[in-house]
Amino acid sequence: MNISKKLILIVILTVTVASVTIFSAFEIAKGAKFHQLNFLHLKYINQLTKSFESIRQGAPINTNTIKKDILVIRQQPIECLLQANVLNKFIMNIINTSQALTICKKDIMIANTALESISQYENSEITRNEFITGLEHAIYNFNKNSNEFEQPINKTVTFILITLIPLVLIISMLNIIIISYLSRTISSSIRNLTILLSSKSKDNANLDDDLESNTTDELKALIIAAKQRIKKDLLNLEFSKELQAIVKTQTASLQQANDELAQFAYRASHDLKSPLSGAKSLAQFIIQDIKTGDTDEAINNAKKIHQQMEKLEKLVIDILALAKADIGSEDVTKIDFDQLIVDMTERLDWLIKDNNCTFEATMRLSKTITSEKARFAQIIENLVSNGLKYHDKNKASSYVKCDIFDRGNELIIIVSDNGLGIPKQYQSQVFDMFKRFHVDTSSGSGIGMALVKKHIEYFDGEISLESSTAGTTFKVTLPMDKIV
Amino acid sequence: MNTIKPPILIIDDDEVDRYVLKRLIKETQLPLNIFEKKDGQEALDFLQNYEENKKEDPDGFPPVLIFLDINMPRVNGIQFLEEFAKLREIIEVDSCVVMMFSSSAREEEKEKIMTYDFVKDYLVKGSFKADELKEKLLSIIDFSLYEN
Repeated sequence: MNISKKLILIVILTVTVASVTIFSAFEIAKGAKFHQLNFLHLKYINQLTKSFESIRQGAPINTNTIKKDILVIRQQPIECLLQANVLNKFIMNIINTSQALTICKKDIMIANTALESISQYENSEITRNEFITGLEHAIYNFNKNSNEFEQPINKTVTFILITLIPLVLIISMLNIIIISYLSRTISSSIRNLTILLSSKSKDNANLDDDLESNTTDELKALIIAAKQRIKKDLLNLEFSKELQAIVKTQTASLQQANDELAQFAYRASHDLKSPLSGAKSLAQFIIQDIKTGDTDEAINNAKKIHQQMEKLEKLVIDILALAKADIGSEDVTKIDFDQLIVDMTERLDWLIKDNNCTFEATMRLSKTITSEKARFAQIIENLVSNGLKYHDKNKASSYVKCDIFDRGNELIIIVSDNGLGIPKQYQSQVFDMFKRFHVDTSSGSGIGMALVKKHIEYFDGEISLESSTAGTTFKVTLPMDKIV
Repeated sequence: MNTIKPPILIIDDDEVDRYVLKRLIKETQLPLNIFEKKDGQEALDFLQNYEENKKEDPDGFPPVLIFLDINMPRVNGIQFLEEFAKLREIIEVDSCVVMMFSSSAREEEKEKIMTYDFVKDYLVKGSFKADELKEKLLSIIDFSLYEN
């Protein structure tokens, strides 16, 4: 039986007990009512007897008074019959006291006969003596009936008292027992569930089985609903946590991008300004030198201005290339790597000669590469020119090698040199913008390697470096399918 | 008359910038013994080699004033100041002060720079003339100490 059915049963039992109790109280009160009616009956009979005594002693007959007295006497048996309900009649039949009701009916008949004889007397159909005799007879019967009525009523009332009071008590006791039992089963099923839920170290499958076998329908439904609700809440919580994490990482990456941009703007403007302010001062010196006739110094300073301007030009070209590196170009062509190397070698010829280096390139490509040529040119040129710039004067001969080949689905570019090498502590910063690590050969803009990295990231490729005092090797790996 | 010139140190990676500064110093006609280092690392190595340098050149070391650039390879100006502050606790360079010498600096960098009490001034490259430089040098270096 589920909890709500048990609760309904408790309500029904309580209502029944209350009804039986109230009914019993009414029934017991009815016993008193019968006695009261009989007492009234006797009183009115007595009243009639007094009027009759005076008539017999010769007083004139006041039919109205007598009629009124008889009507009053007739009233109690009528009420008595009205009071007795089906149950009373049934009980009276069983305990054999139903003669009380017969007596009532007889009394009414006697009263009716008496009333009839009054009308007969009034119409002079009977004589005064006949009337008096009839009335005497009626009074006699009234008294007789009243006496006879007392005994069965007493018996009935006693019966009601001795049956209803124990009945009420028994029903109440039963009610208390059943209600206690039901409430105990309800509270124990809740308690069991609580114990089951608060028990630890049980795997979920076990717990589900236990819940299945140990709980009633409604609690099971409650548990299922609670489980679903908790699951949903957990999901929501997880979801909002995920969202928070996404917002956090995105904010962080935006912040980083913003910081990088601010750093870039500052460094770019600084590096652009630096050769300009140098040139500005140098121009002043030239004027002074010419004034003082120091032509040699003036020429030196003019050369320095020229160098500054070249530096500035290179920087502007690099910054432009860097700005373009983020944007995809439509300019996709078949790349002739041989020609690319030839063109580059021409551009870097002065550096190769100045630094007394040798440069050689090998190419082993099984297929034609179709991509944005400018990016490849910039990757290779920056790596090679770095190798040339940072050559080691203390080594007998300096070289830079470039090896381009494909392997599986990858295009690989390896640029190696026997130059100064990059000290370990700076290797992690090689691809940072505006970073330079060598003081004597500070002709670079500090953008070249950042640009290389940008191009490689654009192709979803990778770059790694190995460096020691013996030299440096950069290895670029580009996935073929991302190149075009 | 045997005059000892006050030693000063220029730390800047840009050859032209060093040349410009040297020439302006020359124009002030102040007698100074100029040392040059190309970045913070070189300068730190130079200063850390205190004992040896002092022995070699007792009057020319340590420098009384450092002109310090900010953007340099390896150890930049900001990093140099951090290391130099530590160095000041170990070796006797208390009389040595720093004058920043850069074309620009970010606000947060300037704030950090100015927290060091041994940083006396901030010169912006290309924005000053020889007579201004002379004034600043005279306010920092007491040349009377070097006249015999």
